[in-house]
Amino acid sequence: MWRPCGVFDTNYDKDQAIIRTQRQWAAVLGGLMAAGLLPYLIGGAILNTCNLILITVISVLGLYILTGMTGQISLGQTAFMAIGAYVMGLMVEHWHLNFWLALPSAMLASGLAGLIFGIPSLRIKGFYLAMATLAAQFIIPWLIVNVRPDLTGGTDTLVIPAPSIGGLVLNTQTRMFYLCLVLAVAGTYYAKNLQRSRIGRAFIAIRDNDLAAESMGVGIFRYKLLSFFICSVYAGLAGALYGIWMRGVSVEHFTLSESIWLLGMLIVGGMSSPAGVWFGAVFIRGLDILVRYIGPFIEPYFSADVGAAVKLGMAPVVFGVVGLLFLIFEPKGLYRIWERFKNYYRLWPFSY
Amino acid sequence: MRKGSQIFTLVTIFIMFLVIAFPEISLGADKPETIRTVNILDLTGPYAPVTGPLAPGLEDAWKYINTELGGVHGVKVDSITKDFAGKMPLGLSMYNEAITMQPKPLFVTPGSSPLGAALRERIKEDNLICVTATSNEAIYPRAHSFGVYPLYVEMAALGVKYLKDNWKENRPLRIGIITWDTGYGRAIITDEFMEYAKSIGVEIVGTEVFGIREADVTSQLLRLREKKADWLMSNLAASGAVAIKKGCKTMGWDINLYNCFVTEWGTVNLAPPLFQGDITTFPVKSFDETDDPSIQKVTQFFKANNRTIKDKSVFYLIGWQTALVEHHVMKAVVDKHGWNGFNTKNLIEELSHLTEFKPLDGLSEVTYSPERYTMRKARLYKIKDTQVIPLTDFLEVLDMRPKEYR
Repeated sequence: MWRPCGVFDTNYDKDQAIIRTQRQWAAVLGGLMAAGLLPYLIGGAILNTCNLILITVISVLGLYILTGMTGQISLGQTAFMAIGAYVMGLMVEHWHLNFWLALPSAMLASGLAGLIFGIPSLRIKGFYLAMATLAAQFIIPWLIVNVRPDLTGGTDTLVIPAPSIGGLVLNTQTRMFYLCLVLAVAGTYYAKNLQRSRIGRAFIAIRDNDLAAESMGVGIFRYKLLSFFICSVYAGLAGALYGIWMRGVSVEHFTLSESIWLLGMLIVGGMSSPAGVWFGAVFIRGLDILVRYIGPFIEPYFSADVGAAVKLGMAPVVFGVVGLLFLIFEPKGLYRIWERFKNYYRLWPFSY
Repeated sequence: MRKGSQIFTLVTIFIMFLVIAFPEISLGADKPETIRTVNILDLTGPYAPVTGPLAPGLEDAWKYINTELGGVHGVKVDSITKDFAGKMPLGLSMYNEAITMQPKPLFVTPGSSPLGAALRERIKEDNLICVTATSNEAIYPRAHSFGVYPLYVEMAALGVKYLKDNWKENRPLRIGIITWDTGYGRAIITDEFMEYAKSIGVEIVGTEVFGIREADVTSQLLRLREKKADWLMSNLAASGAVAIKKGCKTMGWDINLYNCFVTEWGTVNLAPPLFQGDITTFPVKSFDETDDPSIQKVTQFFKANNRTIKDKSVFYLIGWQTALVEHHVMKAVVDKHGWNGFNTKNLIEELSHLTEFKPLDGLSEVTYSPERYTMRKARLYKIKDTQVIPLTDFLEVLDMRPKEYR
């Protein structure tokens, strides 16, 4: 953990702390206070986007643990989100269960599904593992549609009533924002802490060299499965929140392209830190909005047909180009840029 | 830090700033003297070829209402259309943006039934009225949502009855269902429909589904041919209908398709010879009824606003119907209760008692009741050359609501 010159730890608690300097404490507290006031400062549509970003952050945090820490890959993250969303929906809508019972159930169900689809990771790696996890993206929606469609609604939307927490009905964007914020911050804290734990070190050892890790006594199969489990638990949490936020779920919400974009957010943000997850989610979701607003301004500069095509094709092209640029020029993502930025101003006015 | 990296960082920060700033800039200015409606439509997403023309339809109709009918007792109606590109979170975001507008919208039109279903309870909580594409989930349990046509399954029953009534052979009519594997496609495969088909002596010999992007459906068609289907039946649009008919042609299978909702100009023009003799259902008159005064009025605006061939669609006409129904109801509420009583409660009361209202004196027949928030009448059409010719007058559909909501 790098710190400014002259900052020393004087006891073990300080040495183990995640937030280590006064400035960091000030930034965290200031950030949380600002986030707490956000619903009173911004409009409904932006708050809605903030909720989507927070849900996305939770899902991408799972990928950070799986891909960033363990070096495994999953192209089925939204399928695991679908499990979380449907389990939440079924528990709240059909069985009228308490939110606090439904939420862990949704997370656990997704985690167990992640375990199943993580089994091939013992035998295969890289591209082949990606293909194996891709299967989840096809199998899970198929199961949702075809097994007990009387419960899931099949291809129809499963409408989820707004759950309540201690009499507080989660039927406004503001209430959802606070819930998502708390869970996203808690999820980030857990991911950050996990990185420094025995489990996290085993994950990193597997990522860096699985054979070397195994020769040092790290149970590869166990830890790979654990990584898939934790990743899917995050997906389940994100899916459950998505379900109650949308107040309805359909398999059409959980597409392969969304799974790929979750992975894209991790790459663009940076795989080496949970902070990168936040950067990636904000940047890509923000870019989506930006492209949508720029499209109509650009359209008139082309003929009618070309203009419509430009407007239609702009989002995928922009995302593709952004992803490409990051892979070429900054493969460590926005987080690395942020680190350089901080270091530059830490030394300012000296150049090094 | 290198100069290039600094520039990259600054550009990134600038982009993030724009992201936060732009949505605020885009919010509409306040117009307190107007009545607002908001349409959240799929104009660039997967259903855009089908529901996209709803936007010009609504735009032209409100233009007609504001210019020729003087709005609602002199108050202009401001109809705002937003494109959610088939992305549900974006649709929700647009809805949230809409409810913070000043003046607050009275009517919201989600252009897809999954969005209508997801917004159903929310719209009720926000005390708005929803006029939506008609699936069971978008309408039931009843909230504040009204369907712009009968339930898909009700139109399906109407078509099957027609086919049965016109079946000449001395054996039961055999129908093979082949439809999209989506909520919309599967909306016709319900217990109520299967029971009804059986009760009138129609044999459903098989049910096949295929993905919305699949172009080759010959395997599914082969299975239905083995079961000796006399008619095919589906509930899909554009590329789906083309996939089925191309598959039939490839197999050399001469069979007609009854596409409940909907085969229309956009689909037929893709390959006219494929669709000859096929049947479909929709709740409005046809563009090809050129002598009809309501179609003449619509066509006049269609031409005047330089609409193109891609806008010639059932949804363009449904856009007119939607706007005219909303206008009629708003006017009636002001007539009965004055501006003081111009509220959601009275509008819903008026809408749920609307009986045989004929927009433009006959574009369609709209009836709702407090029990059924979907339209009661639809018409059967046959494809001939590139035209969609009426086979029947507006017929009452059977009540095929899910049992638990009757």
